[in-house]
Formats: sequence, structure tokens, C-alpha cells
Amino acid sequence: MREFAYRRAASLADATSLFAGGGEAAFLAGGHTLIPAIKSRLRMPDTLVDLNSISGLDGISVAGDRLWIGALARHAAVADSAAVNGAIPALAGLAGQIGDPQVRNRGTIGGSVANNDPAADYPAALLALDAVVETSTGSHAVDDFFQGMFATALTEGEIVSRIGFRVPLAGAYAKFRNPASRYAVVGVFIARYATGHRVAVTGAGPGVFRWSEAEASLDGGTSLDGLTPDADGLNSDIHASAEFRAHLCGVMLKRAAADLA
Amino acid sequence: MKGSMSEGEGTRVDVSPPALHATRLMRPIPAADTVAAHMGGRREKVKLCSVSTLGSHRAQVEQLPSHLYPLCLQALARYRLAMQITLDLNGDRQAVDVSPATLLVDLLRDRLHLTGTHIGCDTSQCGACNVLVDGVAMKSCTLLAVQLDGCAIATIEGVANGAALHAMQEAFKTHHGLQCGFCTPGMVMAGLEIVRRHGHDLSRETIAHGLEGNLCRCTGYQNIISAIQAGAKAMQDA
Repeated sequence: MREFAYRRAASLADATSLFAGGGEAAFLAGGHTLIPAIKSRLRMPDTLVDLNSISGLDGISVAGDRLWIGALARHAAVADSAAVNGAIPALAGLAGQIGDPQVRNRGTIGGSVANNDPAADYPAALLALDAVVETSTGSHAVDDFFQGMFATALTEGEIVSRIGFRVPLAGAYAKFRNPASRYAVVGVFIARYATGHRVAVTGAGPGVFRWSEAEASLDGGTSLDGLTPDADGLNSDIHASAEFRAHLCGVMLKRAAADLA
Repeated sequence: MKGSMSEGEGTRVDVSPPALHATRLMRPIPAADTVAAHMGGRREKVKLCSVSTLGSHRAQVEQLPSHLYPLCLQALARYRLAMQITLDLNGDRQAVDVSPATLLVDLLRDRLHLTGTHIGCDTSQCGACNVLVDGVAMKSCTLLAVQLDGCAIATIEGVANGAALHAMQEAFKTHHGLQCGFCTPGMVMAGLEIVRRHGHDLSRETIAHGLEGNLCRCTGYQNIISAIQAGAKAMQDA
């Protein structure tokens, strides 16, 4: 790999100042997206600022109607957490389907959210579960946070510190996995609240999106048969055409809805 | 990367790979033999080269074939950015100098000569590079060695007790859990991880899910699953 300087941050403030002084800098959490990106030269940072030594960033707790997960919580910790399994079992289930056991032992929720890969699982959960993304400088409502492929509302040097999920009456996630890499070819998360349903789709489009027709259908209790999003604008690659992804959205929606009951 | 690419004595190369801008982190430009030593397996080819400082960011490279310039520059960058870390490696405490971009698997194989940890896909899919970090299985192709300062690393070389195979290794032998053997070190480490997470009484389904991050191109997995099932039981009895 191309060389870079490495700095270990002791606190969020320390991380911010190291980032500012590091040329083209990048934050390193689990590294399971960043390191492959550096290997393939998609990213060429001058400095990596390692966040893993910052204490207090991996906690999981429930406060009021929100489940809070620290940015450095590993996927395996989220999947196994009694607090997550108690409050939002579908979220624990989602975390347990990311990558494989070794990847889950290292990858973090904060890294996944900040990276916003269009085929990542967590963005679907955040969007459906009306999350709040707290950062080193403030907080973002999820409806404004994800802004398309690899784009978020985070500004240069801003660090995700924790994520607050609004605990639903019920939640479910269904995912069609790429068989080799296990990312979401299409993933659909449904959250049911007293005020209605929120449905988020990952993998299908250039970024995670809410599916308003599915929400209306679930709210109204009408049949989900034949419901698919418009294939126009969905991703098309060697693994799945846009039309197939649109079809999978309908199938995953019905599977998640069946789990919701 | 700038520099004259013509061959010959006294050729001047601008030694300023992008990462070198962070001068406060760096060691001074080293002597030629130190650079040669950091060029790894190509060492014998660069013994002729000599590097002398021409200022803070320049070095002169003499008698070095032009195709080796990038390697030389990379070696310089590695040397100048290197940091010391301490690892508990299979029970032995070791201090090593590594540059930040050194992957754990490369440190293990190329520097420490522990070649039992394999590189298969190099994209964190195949699991041939699985090691235990503080007892937890991870993919060493997707970990930076500098991140692991103070950690305990267990590789396949540390699993057996001298000449006596570990129960999990013995089970792979007994149940023909390997053919070519390339994936086997990673499979054994994955087996230990499955036991850590799920205990000693394992269903075939639990094992199959636990092997989602390990690829084998020979066996069809059935004997690997049998081996891990038996190995897990044998570990309990041991």
C-alpha cells in the first residue's frame, strides 16, 4: 500500500486537531471499508487518524424512547447486545448479517454510517428507525443525513460519536445478500410507529431511500402484492439489473412485513 | 512521483512521495544500506545503490536500475514513517518497527516469517489470513499492524503445543478437512472462533454460518464442518 502517516487520537478534540494538521487526512475506525479503499487507491490519504483509542465511544444504552449506540461499537457487539436485542431485535439481527464473523469483530457502526456505502446495511436501519446522528460538532436528523452514494451531511473533519434509534412498536429487516461478499443487493427495513410506518431500502439505488408507496400501503393495510419501486434510476451491475433489484425490493418488503407481525 | 528515469551513475531522484510531507513524524533520510535493507526481498538487487542526502527531501541514487526507483522511494517512505510497536505474538513479546501502511498479514509473513497465515483474496473475503487478536478472530489482510500495539496475536503457528497438534488441528487431519491446505490455517482459526462464540456442542448449521467468511476451493466444506464439530467436542474433553 501507499504509505501514509498514522496518528492515534486520545479524544474527539485530539482527533479533530490531528485531522486538520494531516494534509489529506482520513479517520480510521474498524477500517473494513477504508483499508480496502486505500489498497485499491480509491483513497490516498496522507494521514490516518485512528479513533480506536478514544474511550466512551462504544457504549450501548436505552434512554427514553431512544436506543443509543456508540460509533465505535463493533457489529458483533451490536448483534450480541442485550440492550439492542431487547429494544430493537431487528437491528441486532441486521448487525449479525453484516459481512462475516471476522468482519463483524472489527467493523464499526460509525464507520459504516459515515462511509454510506450504497450497499451497506446500517443506513437502512437508521433511515427507517428515524435516527439521530450525533457528531463531534452537533447532531443530524437522519432524513437530512444520507445524501446519496458515499455522501453524507458530515462536514470535513466531523466525527460521528453515537447514533440514537427511535424505538419502534415493531421492526423487521429482510436482505438479499450477495453470496460472496454478503453485502445487500437489496435490503428493506420496516419500522412501525404509532404514527405510521417508515420503510427504507438499501442496495437498490445509488443511496438509501425511503419508499413512500410501501409506507402508505402498510399504513392502510392494503396488499403488498406487486408493489415495486420504479426501476428507473436503480443500480444495475453484473450482480443484478435495475429491473431485478426493483423486483427484489417487492420480495424483501413482503418478507420483512411477514416478520413484522 | 518525480525523478529522472534514465539509468546510470549519479542519477538524481526526488525523494518526496506524498506521505513524506508530514516531516515532523519522520526519521532522517537513512544511509544507503538501510534503504537496501528496507527493500525487502529485492535486497540483493540494490546492494549496488548508494543514497546520500542532498537536502531534507532529496537523495541521490547511484547505479540503480530505473525500474527499482519506485521500490527505493517506497522503502525510504517506509523507513522514515516507521513506528515501534510491541506485540504478544503466540506468547512471545516482540518489539518491531513497522510503517503505518504495513498490513498485519505482511508483517507476519514477510518480516516475522510466520508464513502459516496465508494471503488468498487480499480483500477480506476468503479468511485465509484469519488470526486471533486478543482472542477474537479477525482478517489480518484488513488490519494495520500499527493499530495493534500492545495486542496479543495468535497465528496458526501458535496453536499447536510443540509437536502435539491442537485438538482442532487433529480433527482436521482425522476428518480429512483439507485437500490442498491453502485455506486450512484460516479454517482452523475460524473453528476456534466458532467455539469461542457458540461453545463445544455445535450443529452443522451453526458451523456453516460461522464459516461464511472462509472460502475453500477443494473440499465442498462437508469435511471441514465435520472436523470443526469434532474438534470443538475434543477441545471440551481435553
